Amino acid sequence: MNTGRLFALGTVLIVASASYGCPGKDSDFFAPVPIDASAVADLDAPIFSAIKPVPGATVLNSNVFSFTLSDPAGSNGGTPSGVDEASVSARTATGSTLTLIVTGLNYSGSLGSLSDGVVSLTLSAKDKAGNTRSSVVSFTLDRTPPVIALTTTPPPQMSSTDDTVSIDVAGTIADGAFGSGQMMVTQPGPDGVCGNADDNIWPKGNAGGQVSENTFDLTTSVKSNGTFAVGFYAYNPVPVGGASRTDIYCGTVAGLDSAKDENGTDKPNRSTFVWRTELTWSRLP
Amino acid sequence: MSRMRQTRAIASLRTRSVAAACALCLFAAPMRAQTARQVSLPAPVSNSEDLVTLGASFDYAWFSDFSNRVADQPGIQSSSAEDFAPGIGASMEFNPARLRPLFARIGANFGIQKFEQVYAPISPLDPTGATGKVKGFFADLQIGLRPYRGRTTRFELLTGGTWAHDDAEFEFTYADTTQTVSRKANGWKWNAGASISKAIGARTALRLGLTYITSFKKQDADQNLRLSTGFVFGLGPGDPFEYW
Repeated sequence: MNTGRLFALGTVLIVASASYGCPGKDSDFFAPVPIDASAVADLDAPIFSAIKPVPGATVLNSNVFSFTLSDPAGSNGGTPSGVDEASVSARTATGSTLTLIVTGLNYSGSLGSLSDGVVSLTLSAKDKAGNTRSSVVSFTLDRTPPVIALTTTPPPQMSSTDDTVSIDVAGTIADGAFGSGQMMVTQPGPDGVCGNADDNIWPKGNAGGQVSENTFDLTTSVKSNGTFAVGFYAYNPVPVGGASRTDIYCGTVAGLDSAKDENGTDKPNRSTFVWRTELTWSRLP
Repeated sequence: MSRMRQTRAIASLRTRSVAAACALCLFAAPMRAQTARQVSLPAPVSNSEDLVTLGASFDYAWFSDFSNRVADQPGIQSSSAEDFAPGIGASMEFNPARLRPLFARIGANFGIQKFEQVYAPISPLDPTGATGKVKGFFADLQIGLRPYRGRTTRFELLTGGTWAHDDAEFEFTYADTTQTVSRKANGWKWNAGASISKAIGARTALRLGLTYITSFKKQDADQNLRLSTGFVFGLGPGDPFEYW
């Protein structure tokens, strides 16, 4: 090889080196590498969500309880190990275990075996890495309606020739979670039975055939001391010289508590007590 | 001829012979002259031998972009890196007689650089830091020219291609664990340099070299300027250094 060819070869080598693109060790060579999530220990326990009864249902009129479990990626980024389904439980304060029905990660059960009163349920679950979490759900189970007792009612039958007759009703409404109370003055429907759907409310007024008041709110009084006492006037519908007639006056005392269902929607327990009096009106000549 | 005149003639001959020898040295053609009085003069130059020279060196390289590449990472908080790296080198030179003053040289250099990174991780799976070292191996394929050849000193210019191989090991630290990652990179680059050799014997010389290696890219952690100091040993008949 002569000098000239050697120079030519060197030139080709230099040009080739420069034009090849000469890949360099650039920034990517020193780039950080995230660790695989599967290599990071699962340090976080499963999480309870969608627990029912909801926190707003402090007084529960339902037998339903349910919750959802999940085992999400932890704060350290580790891949979750998954819920250990055999470890999921719901226990009462007395230690009794409620039977759970599992649908995927949704769990449900019945409170039917429990008595009314304060209930504290402890929900527990463990993931496959051994991380445990518990959640306590407390509420008052109340599936019993208020108890109404009347201490004063009009007699079953009475008569009057006066322009008005005073009718008094008194009693008690008892419930640990009393909500509201009401009395309505009605007349029975065609079936002649008081307190059912075909009753008609007595017209309110001060004319004959009317009553001075037909609707009474008993809430304040009952909340104050558990009792109520109301009265109204019935007006003689018979004109002077008219034929006597008998009117039936029905009173429906209703009591409701403040219970809700597992979703927090109002679902009060309701009770009623019905009184009835037949008042024969007439006029003296 | 009288004894005095004979002595002056011999001295004159010696002087002229030494001068002639010095003059011929400039043309890399040592000469030897024989005298009746056993005066050691340079032997006639023979330029017909092909020579091979072996070299070994200690190197010190400046990697101008190394610390910049280490620091140029997403989420990095701080970093440190060794831009200056010591190393060792070896070379083999082929010096065919018919190609002089041109020659070919193959060289290999090896060095280690350490670095450290501190990160502000965005995700818990991102590292909080990393330490590591890069083992760099450079193989130079060069063509050289000796534009200057003194009595005991040689000056050379070289250029050619360099094949760079990097072998790095990273130790990444995370919130709860660590991970070791290995990376390799290869690539061709261009080199240009110069060296000066000083004979310290018939076959040995000290060499001082400076080589610049680049890929012509703005971002290249391998780009470096290398200073080499070492020895060379010539193989071949006679006094190889005379023929360089």
